[in-house]
Amino acid sequence: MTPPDINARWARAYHRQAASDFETYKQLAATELPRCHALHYLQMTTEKLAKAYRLAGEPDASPMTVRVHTLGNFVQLVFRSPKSIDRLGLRRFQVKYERRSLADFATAVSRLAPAVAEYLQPRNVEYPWEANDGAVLAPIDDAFADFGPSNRVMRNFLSLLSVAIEEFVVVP
Amino acid sequence: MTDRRRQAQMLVDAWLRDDDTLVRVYAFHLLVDRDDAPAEFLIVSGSALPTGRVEPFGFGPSSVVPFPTRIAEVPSDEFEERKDDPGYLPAGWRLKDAEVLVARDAA
Repeated sequence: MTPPDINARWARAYHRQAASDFETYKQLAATELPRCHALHYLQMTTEKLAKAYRLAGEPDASPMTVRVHTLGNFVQLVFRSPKSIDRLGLRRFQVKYERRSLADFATAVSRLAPAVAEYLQPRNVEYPWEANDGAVLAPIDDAFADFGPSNRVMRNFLSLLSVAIEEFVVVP
Repeated sequence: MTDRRRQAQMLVDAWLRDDDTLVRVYAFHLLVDRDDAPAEFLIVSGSALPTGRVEPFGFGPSSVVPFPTRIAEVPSDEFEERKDDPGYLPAGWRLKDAEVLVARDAA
């Protein structure tokens, strides 16, 4: 089996897991549980989906770690994809600012993971952290209101993830 | 102009419409014998986020671009600084062999 064949298998597996994580996110987000639990699945969805698209994009690359801006670049490139022409049509003129705001939002989602948050900000969706005032907080103490359903960018981000999950293919 | 070249240009025209800061588009493996072979594009844009390496993502065909693509985007300053570094570009992406579809100054 050649490296591209192996990576195609990995890409499909990452995509399947991302799709399942996203369904889990939606189910958790519809409950009264603390928002950190749903956001944990949203962060994992985004990371695994970006990895699936990356493995499809560089068939001889090894399964890679995701850098902090990789998710943002992934989101920007979903707007650049050939299917975006079908999808956006004349709306293309309106997406200039939406594209960048969603890329920045994806970067914020990536920082919800403690491995990334450690270097940038302590707030994350899995482990306790020490706040600036010395208080030790657990993720369940934080409402994560900036990732709530009233945030328009959040709603657009969820729509984009749905599209990206649906449109994924392994590039031969 | 071949079909693939024309279809690629439609994709690039769409990119230009929503990005005033896009300055270069390089195409790799655009003109090949197989219509279903992927084409690769490197976008150099002031709106790209820095990753320290060219990271392509793979996309399926569409009604306008009926072949798969691999697309990467890098910031202009990072590209100028690092374009000759070994390992900055993916294997098989050589700038000297690329077709330049866009070359312009930033708006």
